[in-house]
Amino acid sequence: MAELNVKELSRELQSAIADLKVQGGLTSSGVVTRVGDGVAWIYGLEECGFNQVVTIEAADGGVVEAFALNLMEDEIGAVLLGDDREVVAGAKVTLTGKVLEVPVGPELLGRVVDPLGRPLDGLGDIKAKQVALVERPAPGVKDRKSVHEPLMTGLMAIDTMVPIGRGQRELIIGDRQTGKTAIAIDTMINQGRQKTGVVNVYVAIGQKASKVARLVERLREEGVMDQTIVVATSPADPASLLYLAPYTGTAMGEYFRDNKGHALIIHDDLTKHAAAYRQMSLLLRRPPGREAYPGDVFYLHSRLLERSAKLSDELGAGSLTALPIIETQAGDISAYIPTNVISITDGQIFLETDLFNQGIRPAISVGLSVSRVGGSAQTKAVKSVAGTLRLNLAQFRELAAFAQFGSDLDDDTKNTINRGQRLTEMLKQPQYQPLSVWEQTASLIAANEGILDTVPVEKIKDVQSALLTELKDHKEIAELNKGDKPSDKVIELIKKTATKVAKGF
Amino acid sequence: MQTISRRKIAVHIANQLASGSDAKKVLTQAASYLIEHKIQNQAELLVRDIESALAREHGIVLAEVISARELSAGIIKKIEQFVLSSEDAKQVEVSASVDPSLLGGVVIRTPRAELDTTVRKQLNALKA
Repeated sequence: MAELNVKELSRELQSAIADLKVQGGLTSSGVVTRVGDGVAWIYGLEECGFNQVVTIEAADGGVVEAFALNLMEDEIGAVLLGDDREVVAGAKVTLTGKVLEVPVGPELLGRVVDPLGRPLDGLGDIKAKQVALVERPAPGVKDRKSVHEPLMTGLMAIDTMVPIGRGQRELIIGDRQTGKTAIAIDTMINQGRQKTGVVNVYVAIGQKASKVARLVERLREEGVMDQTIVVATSPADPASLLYLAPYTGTAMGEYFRDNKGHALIIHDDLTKHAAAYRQMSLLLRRPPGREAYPGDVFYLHSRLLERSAKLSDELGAGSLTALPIIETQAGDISAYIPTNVISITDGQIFLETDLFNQGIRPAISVGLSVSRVGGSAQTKAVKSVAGTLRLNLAQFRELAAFAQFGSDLDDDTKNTINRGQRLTEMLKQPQYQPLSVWEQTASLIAANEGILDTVPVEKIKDVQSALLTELKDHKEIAELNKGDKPSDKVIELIKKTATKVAKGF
Repeated sequence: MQTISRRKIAVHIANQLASGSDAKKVLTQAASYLIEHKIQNQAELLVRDIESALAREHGIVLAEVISARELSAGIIKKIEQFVLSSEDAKQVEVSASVDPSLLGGVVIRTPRAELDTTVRKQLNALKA
């Protein structure tokens, strides 16, 4: 490094002062009066606005960024984005005049970043050409269009009974270890396998770093990482980063939505997000409300999820679909955060521990799960079999309690129970094996028509597998995969093949 | 008892001082208030608030100028002019001091803003 000539530097500075041609001039400044637990209290900066970024001079000569959340008459409460041990009372604070921005664009695909857009994957700098505001207003009424295109998850139980449309917000809710993240991962994998062109944004909020690493590895193995952005935060990160993560992910997804593309965002999970916001709010001395959450915890999630939308044709008809995840305690969906998010979203997929332990995976509770807008987005092929499936399963649920009486039942009841058991078995699906439209349709036509009623329940998955292998090379099947309602010819082909296959079991 | 914000107290004191009231009497009253409310530790912040209120409400800016070596009267005059225009002030009172650890350059500090052109700051930035 060239030797630094301090005398020369000093002389130059002196002459600059003499001329008083100073770049920038006086900048608004304040001072840290107290700091601790990730929050700094600042004196001064009267012009500071809500959510604006300030820089604090750190003890080692560097800077720590913070954003102002509490604007009070005598002081400002700012949440630190870095280590609070580097900030001391008396440190100088400068107003940047900016609100938080993150890099967005296709350059982020395949990358793992933190909520400030900094790479975490060791693959070098992200050379994004654009930046976007982390907090942005949601599209207005005239900017939207009703949800009408399907977003296939590849999971038969979801695509048939709680279908999701592009631009919809569908909550995945359930206790710990019930397969919530598995549904999200399968949905992302399906976007790659079916070549839907939908970009995935996975937001890990306070998730174990090992879990995120495993997920990224799996997505790479499946070849989906190229169309995926992962925004990762771990439990070791400050609450401020956990709070920002879903907003950052949404800003990155919005880029594709606003550029005529389609994106899917998974918030895993908003329970931890609410807890991080509660921590920040309590440290900022905001009054606690129910379950110690602050009064604006509903707005925290409503303003976030409202940004996931289907845009009008004038704006390019792009979409951002959200799959927020909520973890319940002992199946209690009437707790504060679950009820809030249920009311914000356009439906929920409820996962039950009992079903999971019975081996029904995905462990979806058909009775408590609902999709409020997805029905109009369902493909015609799947829709043609979904109605019968729902009816058959509803009748089965009514009579399931009588199954133990066995031979004392009349034939109709026995048939309904038999059919229900086989349909339930058919809807079981191993992880990382999403099914395409034709696979779902063909399987359900066979089951709904009673062709599999004579097959033992434990052999149903084997029959399904054999049926799909038998059918995959027929040219009619390729047509079915386009999503159109199956023609009589196709239905006849499926029935004939299913009957032939079923005889072998 | 309803507490009054520090900023409101500062505005009141600044108004009193600007209108020519007895400074000693006004400051004694302020000290009594701080002691009565057990907020003596905010005395320094109150002084800064008063300086800020004087600038905002009355255009009287107290500017602190710190340099590595003593500045000539001409330069101080120019700094006064600079602060007058940038802070939209009517009157500027400069208090100059010397701090050799700055190495070179100058720090101009007003109640609400700061300009740091020192060599020390630049070296710190290089280090970081």
